[in-house]
Order: sequence, then structure tokens, then C-alpha cells
Amino acid sequence: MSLLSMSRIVLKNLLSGPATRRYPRVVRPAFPGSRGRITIDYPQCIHCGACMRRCPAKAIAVGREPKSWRIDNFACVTCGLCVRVCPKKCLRMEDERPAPVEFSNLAGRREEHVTPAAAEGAAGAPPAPSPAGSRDA
Amino acid sequence: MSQAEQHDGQGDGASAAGASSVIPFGPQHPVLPEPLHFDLYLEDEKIVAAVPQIGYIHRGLELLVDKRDFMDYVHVAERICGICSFMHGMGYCEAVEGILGLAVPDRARWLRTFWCELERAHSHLMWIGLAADAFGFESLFQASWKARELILDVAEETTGGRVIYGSAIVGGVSRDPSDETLVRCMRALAPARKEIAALSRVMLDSPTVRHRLQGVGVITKEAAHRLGAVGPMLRASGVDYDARRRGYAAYGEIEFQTVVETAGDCMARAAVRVGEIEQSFAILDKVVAGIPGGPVVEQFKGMPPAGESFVRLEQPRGEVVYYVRSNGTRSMERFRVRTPTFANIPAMVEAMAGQSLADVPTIILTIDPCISCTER
Amino acid sequence: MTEKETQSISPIEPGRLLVETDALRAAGWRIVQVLCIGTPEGAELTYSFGLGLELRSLRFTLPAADSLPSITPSYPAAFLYENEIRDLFGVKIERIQGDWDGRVYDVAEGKDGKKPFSKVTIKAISSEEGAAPSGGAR
Repeated sequence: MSLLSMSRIVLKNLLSGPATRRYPRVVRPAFPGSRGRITIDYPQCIHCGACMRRCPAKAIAVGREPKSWRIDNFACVTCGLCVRVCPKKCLRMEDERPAPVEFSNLAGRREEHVTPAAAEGAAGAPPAPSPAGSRDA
Repeated sequence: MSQAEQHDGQGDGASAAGASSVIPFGPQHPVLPEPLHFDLYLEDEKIVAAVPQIGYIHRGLELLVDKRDFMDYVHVAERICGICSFMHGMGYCEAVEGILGLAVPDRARWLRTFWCELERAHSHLMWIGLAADAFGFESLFQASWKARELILDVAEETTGGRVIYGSAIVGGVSRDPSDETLVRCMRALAPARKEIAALSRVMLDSPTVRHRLQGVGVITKEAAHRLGAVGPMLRASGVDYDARRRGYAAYGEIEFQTVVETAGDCMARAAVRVGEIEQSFAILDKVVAGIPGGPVVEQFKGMPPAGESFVRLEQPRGEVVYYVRSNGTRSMERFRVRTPTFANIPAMVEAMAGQSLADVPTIILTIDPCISCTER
Repeated sequence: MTEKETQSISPIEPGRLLVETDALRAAGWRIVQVLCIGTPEGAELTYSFGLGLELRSLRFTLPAADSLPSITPSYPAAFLYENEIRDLFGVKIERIQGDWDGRVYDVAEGKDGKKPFSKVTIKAISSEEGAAPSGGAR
């Protein structure tokens, strides 16, 4: 009788322990192909800006003067388009999600790479551009 | 359209005949899974009229289509909704491929079918949980979502994401899981299938569930056709229409059955969805057994031609219509999605007439609403 | 479009909308969708109906100043489509049974009173009579 069949399921659940993990003590390892976050091999970057133009979420900002590359991990939706369009193939999709960020340090959600300008021009250089899809500047 | 007729825009509740009270229901309510609003005109506990209101999460995603390269827009389209996401991306891709005249490789078509059926299985399983929660059956809710986790794990292993797959792209698919991976995933789903079979028996045979679902929210065959209902709403009232019969992706090459019931009440719709989960697993078995090899993407370079395209797919919630118009530039000009929930809302409002207040969440859930799809 | 499906788009005169939709209803067609596109000439409307696997659409362009009768007498379920088109495109549709009076999406009006989707950048497709659209990869 089906009244008992649900009781069977419930009893089995009761006796077999929790079905959930004790996060953060136990962290589920990601699958090898999981879409976690974007990382860059910055020395290979030629600052063409293709990833910035094509990003559907506008999470990437590429600067020319000074050369920089920034991504906002909270805006990124891990679609993987930038990885496909990069001409130098220097972008990679990691399988682990970005680490949680403290509320007092929200800037930690951005990953930033800046090539320092030459010493003479550094003082007057404009700041590196911010990703257009970011919530704040 | 008697219920909606009485809504004259000024919220004059006294115009609803015989109504003694008006209860505003939603967009936030513990039993309501989706942000829609109802003004329920009640006489004692019976509903005299129910006037819906949507628009709480309209994001204007259709307007973005001419601000993105047409190859990139698929990632916006698949984020119209979380549960129906793969088919939104795939529908956009199919419509664009029709305009471009691209022939998708065979393996890509079969992989798209694999992910479509995976999505249907996890969506219906989620629905079982939400419907059980709506009438208070918490343990069925948790047990069905626990079984669903195994399906989401398969999705993450083959596509990288649990609900948003990101694998449909114009010209094919972006990932190529190997045949061994697919076979291994189907084996990993075996305990889930046993569990789902047991839960289905509970959903369909349990006397307590039957007491809540049988005879509630009846839609006759004639009413379902007149109101333009789609999906399980239509098939539970005896109309055998399934957009998969069009033969898109690999459905033209795979034998499958459409599940049709005749009672037209909430119980029949539950039976249709439960039957479709079983059918989805059967189709998944056939896909993994018969998938061909070969490339998974057909590249397209250059400007698309001008043109337009209508495509219809069968989402878990019903028939969805995609329309894309191209003007010969790298951005598409117009993108329109007519989602199944949009078509089912009139049927839902009609089903509510004369029902008791306690059945309102059950009736709302019986169309399997997905308001983020509806409002894009 | 797959081999099993047939699609067609027929241009009609706006004045014949009610007559055509009533004929389709009598023949058992169900309403599938209503599509609107803003063009320089006005709003281009496409009403689609389905029977079995067939999809038949009626298309016409409505000048901006004109108004359109509602098809809800034949197809009561169309009230949702017509309310949405009125809200997002500013098309004037009259006598909708089930009129939400502009509150489907509660959209903000543009500076010139224009509705959000009505930007006029789209040229109407030059419709060859009964042109069948391409419809999706197989």
C-alpha cells in the first residue's frame, strides 16, 4: 500500500544519516569540466580587447594605457565565451568556484593584472578601466 | 473570459458578482513558488474570480538581442530561465541556424537531445517536489529533490553547470562528452531511477495525495483547446499534441511515446508529468545507445543573411515558440519567445473558478509556472 | 523547419483580421502566439495559429495612428498577448475582453511618451506573397 511505501522511504532516510555535506568542513570536489571561474595567463595577453567586447555580462575590462586586464568574478556568468574567442588562448576556465569574499572586502571579487607603466609616465597615467558589468566603480 | 472581464483596471472588487472578500495573493507567499500576483475574489472559501497580475521580474531580455553579436546572444537567451535554460539556448540556436542555413552535425543533434531530456527529467522531478510542498507533503518534496541531485551531477559532469548548461551554440554544441562518459553517467543514474519509480507510486497512488489532487481544477478538452493551453495542461485533457513530433534535433530518429490522460484534473496532469519522466529516461537510454560519432560544431563565419525564422520546441512546460529576425548584420534584429507558461495562464485562471481557497497553490502549480520565462 | 512541419506567413489587410481569425477558429485552429515588431511604417503584427504540426501566420503592418480590434471574441486567450503588445509597443488595441489597462509590466514611459520596445530601427521584411520563412535546423 502506498501509505507504507512512503514510510519505507522516510524510515530509510532516518536510519542512513544526513544526505547533505557538512560544508565548509567538507567541500565537494568539482567535476573536471565544471565551469568555476576564469583565469588568465597574463604574460601572453596582447590586450586586443576581444574578451571585453564579446562578454555577454560585461565582466571583463581591458586597458591599453597602462596595460591591464580585470575581471569581476561576481558579474561573470562562466559562459566560457571569452575562452573561445581569445586569439592567444591565454584564458582558462578553472573548475573550482572563486573563494567566498568577505563583505568588508568586496574588492576581493575582482582579479586584476596591471603591467606597470614606465616610471616617467606612471604619475599621469589614467586608472585601469573597471568592468562595465560591475555594480560599483 | 468571465474572470478577467471583471477587472476594470480600477480594482473595483465589488463588481465581481457575489464576492464577499478579496485576498491579494503573491508575489511573495510561502506556498507560491513563482512571483505572480492574484486578486482572489472569494465567497466564503470558494473562489468567484481570480485576476492575475504579472510583470514583477520583467528584464527586457528580448531588447538585448541587437546589442550583442548573434553568436554571443545565446548565452543571454539561456539565462531567461534557470530550469528551462538549455532549451531556450537551443531554440535560439535552431532559429538562427534556420536563417543561416547551417546543417548541424549529427552528433551535435543527438547530444542536444540528451541534454533536452535530462532537463525534462530534472524539471518534472522538481515539479513533483514543489507540488507536494504546495499541499503540505514535505517528505515527498525533499525525497524527490534528493533524487534530482543525481541528475544535476550528470549535467555538471557533461556540461560544467548544474542548471545552466551553456552547451548550445550556433552551429552545434560546445562540449563533446565521450561515449564512455555518457554510458558511465547513465549507470550513475540507476539508483535515481529506482528512487523515482518509488516516489512516482507515492505521487499517483497515495490516498492522501489523491484526496488533494483528484477532481481539482478540471479543464475539459474543449476548454484546453479554446484557451490555447500547451504541454501537460493540454495532454492531461486528452489532446495529443507534443512539439517533439516535429522531429527537431534527433527526435525524428528516436521512438518515443507521448503521455496522454483524459481526466483533465490536477491528478491527470501529475500523471502526465510522472509518465514523462519515465519516457525521458527511456529516450536517454536510446540516445546513449545510438549516438553517432563525428564533429560537434559547424563553424559559421561572416555576416548572416537577412531573414526570419519560427521554431517550436517542447519544453518541460509545453510548446515554446522562438522567432528570430535578421537584418544582415552581426546582431539579430528581433528575438521573441512565447513561453508555455504565457500560453497556460488563461487556462490556469479558468481552472480556479469555483475552487476552494486551499486549492489555489495546487492549481497554480499545476501549470508548472515559470514566471521568469513568461516575462523575460 | 523540419520535414514533418509546414509553416506559412500570409499577408492580410488589417481590416480583415477579425474575419480571418474567426474562420480559423471555426476550422479548429488554436492560437499559438502574437508577435509585434516596431517598424518605420508602424507596428508589424504577426498572428500565428496552429493545427496539428502546421503553423499558419497572418501578417500586416498597422500605421501608428490606427487602432486594432481585439480578437478576444474569437480567441479569449489572446487577451494576454494583446495587453503585452499594448504595454510594450504602444499599439492601440480596442475592446480587449480582459483589459489590464496598461498594468501588465508597469513599464516606465520614455521621454517622448514612447513605449520601451517601439524603437523604430527595424525595416519591415519585404513580404513576397505567402513567403514561407526558414524554420530551424532539422
